[in-house]
Amino acid sequence: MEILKVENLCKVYGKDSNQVQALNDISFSVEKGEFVAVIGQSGSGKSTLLHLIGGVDKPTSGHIFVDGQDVYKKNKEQLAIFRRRQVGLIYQFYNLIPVLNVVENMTLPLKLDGQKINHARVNELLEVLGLADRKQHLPSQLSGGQQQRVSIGRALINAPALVLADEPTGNLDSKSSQEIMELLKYSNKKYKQTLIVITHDENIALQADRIIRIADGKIVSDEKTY
Amino acid sequence: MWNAYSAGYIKNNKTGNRFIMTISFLAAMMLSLVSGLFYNLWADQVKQTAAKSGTAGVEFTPVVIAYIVIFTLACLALIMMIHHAFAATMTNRIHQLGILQSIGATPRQIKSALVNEVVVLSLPAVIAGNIVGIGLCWAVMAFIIDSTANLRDYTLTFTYHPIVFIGSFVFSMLTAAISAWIPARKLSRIAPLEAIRYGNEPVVKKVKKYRIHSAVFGIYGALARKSLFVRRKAMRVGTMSIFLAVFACISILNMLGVSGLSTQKTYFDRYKNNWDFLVTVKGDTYSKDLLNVIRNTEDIAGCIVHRIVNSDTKIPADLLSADVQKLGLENLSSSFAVSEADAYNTKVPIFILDDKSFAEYHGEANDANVVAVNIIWDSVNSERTDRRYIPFLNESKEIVLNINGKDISVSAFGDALPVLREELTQYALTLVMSESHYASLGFDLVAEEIVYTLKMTDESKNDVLEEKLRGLLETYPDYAFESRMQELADELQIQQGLRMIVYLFTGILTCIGLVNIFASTLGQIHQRKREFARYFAVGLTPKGAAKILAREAAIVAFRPILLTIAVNIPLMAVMLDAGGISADDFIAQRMPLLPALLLFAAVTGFVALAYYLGGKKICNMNLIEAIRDDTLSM
Repeated sequence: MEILKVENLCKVYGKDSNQVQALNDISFSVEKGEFVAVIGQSGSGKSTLLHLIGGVDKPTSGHIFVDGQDVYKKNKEQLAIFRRRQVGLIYQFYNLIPVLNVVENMTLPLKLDGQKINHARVNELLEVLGLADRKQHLPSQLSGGQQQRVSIGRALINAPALVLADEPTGNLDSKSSQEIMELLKYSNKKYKQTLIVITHDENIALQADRIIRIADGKIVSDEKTY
Repeated sequence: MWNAYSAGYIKNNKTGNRFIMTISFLAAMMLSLVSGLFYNLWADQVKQTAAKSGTAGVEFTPVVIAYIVIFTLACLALIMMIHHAFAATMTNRIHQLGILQSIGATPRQIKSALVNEVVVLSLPAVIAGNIVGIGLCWAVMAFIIDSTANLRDYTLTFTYHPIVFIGSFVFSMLTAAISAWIPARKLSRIAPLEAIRYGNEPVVKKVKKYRIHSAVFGIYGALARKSLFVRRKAMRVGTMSIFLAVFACISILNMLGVSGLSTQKTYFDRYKNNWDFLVTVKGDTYSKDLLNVIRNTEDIAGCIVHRIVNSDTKIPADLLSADVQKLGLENLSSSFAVSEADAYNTKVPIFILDDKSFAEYHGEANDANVVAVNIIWDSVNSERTDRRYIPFLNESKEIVLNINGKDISVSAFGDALPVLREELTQYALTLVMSESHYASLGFDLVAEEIVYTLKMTDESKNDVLEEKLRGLLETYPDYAFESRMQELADELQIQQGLRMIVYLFTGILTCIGLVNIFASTLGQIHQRKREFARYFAVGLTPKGAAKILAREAAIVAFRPILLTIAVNIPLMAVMLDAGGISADDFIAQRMPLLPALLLFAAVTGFVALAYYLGGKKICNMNLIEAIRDDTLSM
């Protein structure tokens, strides 16, 4: 079942002589439960692609369909609700709310959505993420790896259609990086969670089911790893 | 450093420059206004002291101390305001300055660059602010001079000294320069990489739970409250100034209202039917001619002349009334000392009235010549605010008192003084007698002054009569003239003047507070954009952002208001109770509802505006750029 469809996506930054073509006519689709790595050099357009899929930036042209819905036909309010319900974003620098503790950070998308907190689900995620004994800690009291786990928990709490991770291990040491990747793979297998990971690290990419390579804003290869 | 960095920064950062210049201008203007006002009030005190004592210098009276305290507080608040405004903009640049440091700029170079920037940006704004402040000071003083003209017997003029200008200018510039040094000093303590990565945002180490707040106002309220908690230092001057302004203004206005109402009830209302004019003449004998002329003046309804001489006597216990004997005179007041032979020492004020007035007081037909005002406050069984009186002496007995070595027989009893301004002296036996009878006693007791108490037929004749009476009195050199209606007008004007001073300082403090709120909502906009970018990234809608900001604004604006109301309700209850004033009377006549509502509306409105402008910038930000910012890391 197709969960994501990207059609003729273009993104141009700047004007006139300062124009930069970040993405140039990109098209692909992702099946539900797939683990896709998007790999490319710095400036290749991979982060732009992730932001467009995640609804935080607007394409110059083209369409993105998530669960059959055209993302950019939504207004600002609807886009925010889309980010809240349909996607889970994981950033290189975690983007946790510094004034909220681990549980509050993880459950923030639910609270913003006015949903009742399923404490069993929260506790299960905390166990899986190895954060059961860190529930009341603020982000500043956690290591980088632990912060990234909280950010993964926050992305998974709503069981979104897509989890998008932008260089999720980019700020971590190799041990923590591998732990994070194991967690992402585990969530992909256990919860049948569709996962798109942006990376420039070949070893990270090789852990995915499928690798899409981008260079100069274009897809140069799209292949399965098995 | 200037050419390499600062000149370009100033050129390309017009919004930031405007902000710094506006804050500098406002702070310098208010500092100049406050300093100018203080100087004028100080100069007035010097002049008054010189007029009274003939010596130069100022006596440190409560008023002067109040001026100094208010001036110092206002200056500190303004200095903090400049400091916070600069600190807010400078802290936003630590990241940038870290980059400069990483490419080899020394802390000294950075410090001098920042100070140079501040001087270039603030200098014209501070000079302009100081000049406008002098203008405002002149306008405020003109208003004070005009509105207090009737209350002074000397001329008050606007004065200014260059030292005031220099003082407020130096303070403004010095504070701005110090505020620029602080981030530079911070920078010299942290490694360049840390400055680049962490500089823009303070690390949150502890946050209160705010469980009740979260339960009542939901996730948006909780985020707003926690955000305010984290930024409490930057907000402190703003919130404290607003709280002080609202609290001091409402509390002082309430107190003025209670005291005004109390004066109204205990003085003006009480004496409305007692007297209209009082003429007090030094000496012990009154002029029958003057009395006749006054009584024959058109529109004068009556005139009583009286003087008071003070004496004492011993009252034998068996002459006391049954009620007093039962309670025990010594239980009513310790001023009644038991003397030998079971008698009490008692003060005896004697009211001596002109013959006609005495006859009218006791009744023309009665031939009594000494009347004892035979009541005493039962302080054992009644409160000060609701007094019960009982008879002092036993009226069925023949009362003969030995006063000043002579026996005086009390021929009648009364339960009130003649209709005069004087109140009945507590715990004393007051006697009333006529001038003729007093003269026949041959006492050598002397009164200090004679008082003519006048009533007029119609209040509308007040001004005409006052002029006439003053004309009559021209030939009497040593007299004091009082007009009840003029006193009432003066009292109202004094209250109005006091209210004006309260409004002025409330205005200044509110401005300081609001400017700080604007500084913290707009001056720290980069930090706030990053904060909200995180919320947007997890699905906060623009409406949700508006809810958070609205709750924040509500906390900032309503907290001082609610605290003020919470403190003022019990405070007023105590004051009204002490003054014997009913809450209904206070609410209907003196509660400062309109000024309070206007102040609340101004605070709420401007805080809402500050948050609206900040919110607009936040909601229109480029989310992708805010998210990309690598300083988002913790």
